[in-house]
Amino acid sequence: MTLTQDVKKPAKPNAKGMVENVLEQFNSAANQINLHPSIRKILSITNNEIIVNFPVKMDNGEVEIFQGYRVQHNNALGPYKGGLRYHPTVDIDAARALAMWMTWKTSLAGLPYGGGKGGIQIDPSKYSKSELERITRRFTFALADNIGPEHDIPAPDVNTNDQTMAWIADTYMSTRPPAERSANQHVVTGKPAGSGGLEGRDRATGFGVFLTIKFWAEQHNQELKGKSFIVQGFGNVGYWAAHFLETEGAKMVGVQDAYGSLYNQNGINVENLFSYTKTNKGSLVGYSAAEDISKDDFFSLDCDICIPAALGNQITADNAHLIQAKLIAEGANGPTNVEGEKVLLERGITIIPDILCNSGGVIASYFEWLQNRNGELWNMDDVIDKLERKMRSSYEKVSHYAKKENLDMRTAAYCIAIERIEKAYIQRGIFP
Amino acid sequence: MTTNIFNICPTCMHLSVCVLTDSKEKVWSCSDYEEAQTPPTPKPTLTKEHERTLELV
Repeated sequence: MTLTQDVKKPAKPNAKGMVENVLEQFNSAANQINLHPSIRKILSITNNEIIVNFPVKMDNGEVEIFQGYRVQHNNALGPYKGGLRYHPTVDIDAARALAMWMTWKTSLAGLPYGGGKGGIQIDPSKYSKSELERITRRFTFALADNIGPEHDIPAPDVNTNDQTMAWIADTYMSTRPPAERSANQHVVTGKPAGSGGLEGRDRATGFGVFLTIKFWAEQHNQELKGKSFIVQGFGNVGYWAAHFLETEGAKMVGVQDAYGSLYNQNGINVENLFSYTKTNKGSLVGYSAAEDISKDDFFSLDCDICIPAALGNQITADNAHLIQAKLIAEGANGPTNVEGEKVLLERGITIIPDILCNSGGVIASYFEWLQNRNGELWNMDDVIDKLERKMRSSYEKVSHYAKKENLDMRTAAYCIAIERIEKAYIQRGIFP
Repeated sequence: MTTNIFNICPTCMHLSVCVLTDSKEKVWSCSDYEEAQTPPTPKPTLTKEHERTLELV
């Protein structure tokens, strides 16, 4: 079957969400750049989808069979790159879309990577730590040479962390000849700092969000000092973005986490709030230096900058008209849906798209990979400095393209990402 | 392979109180996600199904 039309929508007719968003964004950009139809065919489908069933002995001696997968979308620009998640609900369609998204993200960031995604259909809370270790190790063994430091490089995702990555790295390295083991340390990223991981990885995504806001302000001859912002999500991304904005003199006036929402027109001190959450089971509710507000009022708060840094589908046709911010910096993946974006753009509100705004994390992953590959140990200052230069380059490319072609930043970002891959295919041709 | 609607909310410890979204049926990514820590179900230790017993004849 020849695929020259728009990428086909998923089989579930009523499933609206991330999968459809990714495909709509791809099609929009592909139409914009008049993507070569042959390359459109290639990019509209994944390269490889690996499903492994593997046995693991449990603590009581019983053997359970687990199912894991790895979807490899495209590697025209370099090895596949993407996270591994452990979760009981596994949707291969969503994995395909996530792998595709990684392809655009790594391409836009100018990284020598493609896109991949994978995981195991498992509820980790039901297993002991030693069982999870054996599951992880056997999964790594089952994937065998389908992953590799120059082929497919997993990273943490939902319910996986630096410990998981350390187990994977150790297992993979153990399968190599002794003299080659150390040379394979970069098979995964997101490793603990003492096992080849990168200093500063924890703040890289949030720092990247801050940087894109800073670049936007510079571009518009504005200072961040005195600017007000709201942030949804006070986890790894939201906290660090707020932290760095505050150091530049910006003022957090609203913040929301899973438990509640706070507002203070005069500003909420980020570090004080963070310290409070540490003593309050991770929740910001009850913080005395701000008032509790309804979750429904959060996105309509008066502010200059809105940073959705938690989850997707937050700004929609229902609330986009209530946004008062002049800038949306997408720290989360897919926080603005297609209908919401249309309203925002019609209102003249700028959106820094997710694949640009939150790319600090994948860039830091690249640095960790490089660090291992070169046998080096970079310090925090090196990482921050290099991250800033890389993000600035990506931001300026997108901004320039958007201005030149009279496009919004998201379409510009996708166009740049897809054009880079198209160029690679045109230069290299298709074997044989 | 059985496919389910991918969603991480049901296994999140904040499920019952979370105000971040009302649409807790299609969330595939969330920075506030933390898996609910339920203790692993104790599994019975395996015993031999058939134990040979010596019969004195």
